[in-house]
Amino acid sequence: MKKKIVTRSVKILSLLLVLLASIWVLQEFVLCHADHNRQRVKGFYLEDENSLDVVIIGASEVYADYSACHAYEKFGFTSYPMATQSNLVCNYKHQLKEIRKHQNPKLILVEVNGALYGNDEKFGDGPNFRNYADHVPLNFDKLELINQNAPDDKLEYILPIIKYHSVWEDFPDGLGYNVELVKDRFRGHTYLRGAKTKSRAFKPTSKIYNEQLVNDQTRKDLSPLSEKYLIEFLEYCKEENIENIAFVRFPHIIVDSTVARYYRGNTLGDIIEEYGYDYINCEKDFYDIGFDINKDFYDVEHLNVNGQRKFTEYLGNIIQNEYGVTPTDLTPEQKSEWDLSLKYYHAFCKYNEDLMAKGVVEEINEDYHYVQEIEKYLE
Amino acid sequence: MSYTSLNFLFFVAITMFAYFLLPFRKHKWVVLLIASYVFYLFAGYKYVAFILFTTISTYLIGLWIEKISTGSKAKIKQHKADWSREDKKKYKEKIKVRKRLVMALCLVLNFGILAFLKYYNFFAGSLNDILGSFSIDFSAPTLNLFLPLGISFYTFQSMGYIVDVYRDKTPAQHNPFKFALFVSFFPQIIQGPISIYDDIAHQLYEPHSFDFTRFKHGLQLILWGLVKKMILADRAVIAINAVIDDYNSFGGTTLTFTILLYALQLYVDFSGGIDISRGVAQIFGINIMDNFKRPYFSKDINEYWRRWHISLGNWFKNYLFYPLAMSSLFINTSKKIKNTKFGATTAGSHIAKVLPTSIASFVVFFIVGVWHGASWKYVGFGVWNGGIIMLSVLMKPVFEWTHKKLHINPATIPYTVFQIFRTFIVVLVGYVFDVAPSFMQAMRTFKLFFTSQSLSTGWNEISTLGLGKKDYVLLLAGAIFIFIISVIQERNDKTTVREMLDNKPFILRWLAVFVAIIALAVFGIYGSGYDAAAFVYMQF
Repeated sequence: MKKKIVTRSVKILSLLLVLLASIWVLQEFVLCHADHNRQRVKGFYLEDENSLDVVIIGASEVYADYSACHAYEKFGFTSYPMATQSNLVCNYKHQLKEIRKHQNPKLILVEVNGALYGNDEKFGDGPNFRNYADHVPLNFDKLELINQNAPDDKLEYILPIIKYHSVWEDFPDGLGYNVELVKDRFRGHTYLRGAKTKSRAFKPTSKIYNEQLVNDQTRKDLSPLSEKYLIEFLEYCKEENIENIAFVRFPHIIVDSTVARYYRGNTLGDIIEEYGYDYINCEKDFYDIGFDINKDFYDVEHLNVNGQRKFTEYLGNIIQNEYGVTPTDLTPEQKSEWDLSLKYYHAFCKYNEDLMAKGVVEEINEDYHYVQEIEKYLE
Repeated sequence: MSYTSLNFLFFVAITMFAYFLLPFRKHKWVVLLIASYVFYLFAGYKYVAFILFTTISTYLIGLWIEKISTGSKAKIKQHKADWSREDKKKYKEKIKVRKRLVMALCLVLNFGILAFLKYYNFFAGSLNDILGSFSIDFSAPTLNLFLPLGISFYTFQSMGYIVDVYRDKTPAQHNPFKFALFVSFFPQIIQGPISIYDDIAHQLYEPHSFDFTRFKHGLQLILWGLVKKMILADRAVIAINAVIDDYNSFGGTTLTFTILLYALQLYVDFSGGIDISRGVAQIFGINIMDNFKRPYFSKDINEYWRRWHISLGNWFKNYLFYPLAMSSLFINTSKKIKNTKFGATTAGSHIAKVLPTSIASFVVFFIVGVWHGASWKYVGFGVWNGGIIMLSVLMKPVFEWTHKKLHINPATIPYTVFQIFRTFIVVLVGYVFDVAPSFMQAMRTFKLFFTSQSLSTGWNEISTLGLGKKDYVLLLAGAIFIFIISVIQERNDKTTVREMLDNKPFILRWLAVFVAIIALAVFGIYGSGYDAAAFVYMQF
């Protein structure tokens, strides 16, 4: 009798375990919202523990304007953009916790775009929140994040398969990222360390305000929720005695519709400085960076590969010279991984330049199709 | 709380733990009663008054009828010596009338509520239409009525009980709480099956210990029900609803396709729900009757109605068909026909013999039709089914004669396949009334079947119904799978597929469960991208 119970229990447990494992594999690699956000967030967790010198929190500016590979080439330090599309200030605290759990960076930079939206509508945007929340591992901090910020059915954020199980209908077309997600997992890192771009040189046609605003001290209020979350985040940084953190505003082309955001940036800088943290406003340094407005942007908010390399060097200099970040000694294996990434980044730039020369506009990321294209440019 | 929700699974798990861990064996049924009322409260507190009314009225009237019966028996015993046979007969007749009146009170009260809630607006609307056509200035008000969860099912079940008590087939239940459990047992409250008191009551009240095989079979049945409901029914209903929402825009080919899809959807939805109900009940050691027996394999429409929604068919057979067919009016009519000149002919003799049953069948199916909903289209549904059944009974000798003349052996496989196909077509015609938004639209659909068939237009229309090619392939694969399983069940009627599976190697059993769960997770219609459809029969 006892033997029968034990055998039966083992059978049931084995069935349950295999079931759970299968559902996890499906949720993680197949039936998921596989896109560049997922790859970048998952890529962060693939980085060797305590191997990153700098981590940058933020939104699309971060992965469009900054290249970790280029920074590695020019300055030797390792870095990673913990950034997702339209990432909001309400996620920063969770991102910071995750960074500190897995890495011990010499500097954490926070790009503040997520606190500069003119109203609070974005905070109720489920898909936007999913760009980040769907891809971070399930733990108590994630539950807290969901509990505080999820605008709809919370269970779907805990078990994303509930939301995404129907993506099989898009296969095989939608499998490009899924393939790369599996390959990244086996390789142990992403090729481009989070970088993404568009093969386009934007030619502004409307009035540009950047020069006019450099010394403009006008302030505009942050949206109520943006201010609330920003202060919560700053309070958290203070409570935790986090000193290796600084705030940064990446460069944008300022047009009519974004002047107010620039003014909110001034207000935000005041709040940050009140808490004793640095605020590096690169919008004020716009012309010092050396941008060619007709060649370096792919739209008013994002840099193309030309601008990406210029700004990475500019920011890298600040990181190295003003914050004294020096490269960590990498193991030979880590070094070869970063060198491989650098090779891919060179190919990625060449591929982009080639497309721009041909006038072909495409979003270049690390899905299966583009990896195949990039690999054609490998030396 | 939907049977397909995670909440329901948690609810069942909690009830199961409470039921099996309760130390007071004699009172285990109390757990089921509490669970049933908690479940009912989840549907809305305002519904509870209705189920309580039915429970209390039926319980009290059951006791009243029993009291009349026992009192009369005692009186007859008391007067055994001094009453003549005639006196006893007279007294029994008087008692029968009294009991019948009391029973009628219960039926009128409870069916009255059901009829009022379900049909008042239909009658008011129809009356207004008629009066309006005669330019009479009167308008019956329409009311904002709601149908309490499962009202049809628990009313039919309770009224079956009261008739059984009236017929002395079953003793009245003296414990009001036990009776409340019989009326409200949660696995069957949403869409049946409609159980007979004698079949289920003792199972509800007996204490059951945990049995692993029963538990496993129960879970397998729930899983099978979920697969049918969530992968097939809820997927098919997306396309069906798209057609219903814009019915006039579609041609004959799309409507033909929709009716076929509806045949699949209705079967997997309803039988899937019943499988979940039976599976849950089975975990608690309660065997609820199966409501389906491969209905689309029926060789005639009579057989179809013995295989489809079996519990409703049984209810109508026991409580309406037999009383009607055996009533003095029907029997006397039959006798009168027999005694005419026409009655002396072969045809006349046959008609005299089967007329009571065929008319009773027609009445029953007319009511079954109306039971499905308050609309003329359901009247059409009832008339179609009742008419076909009536004709098939009346014309039976003609069919037999034709078989003989054409040397057809009805037992051959090709003829059986023909019969199954023919019956399926008859059933599909009935479904047109279900799917079409109105009776007139149903008539228009029949016309379109013959006048507006175009494969290219049909395909173009079908691809706009909210489902992709892969969905249709999945539905087709599902239908084939259900067909194969049904053939296996048809060949081994006495053994369930689960019992057959028990005899297979462990790895095969394990794989079947594993594949079903993964299929459910991947292909199931759930989550915020979808609006899981309510069970079709819940609305009746």
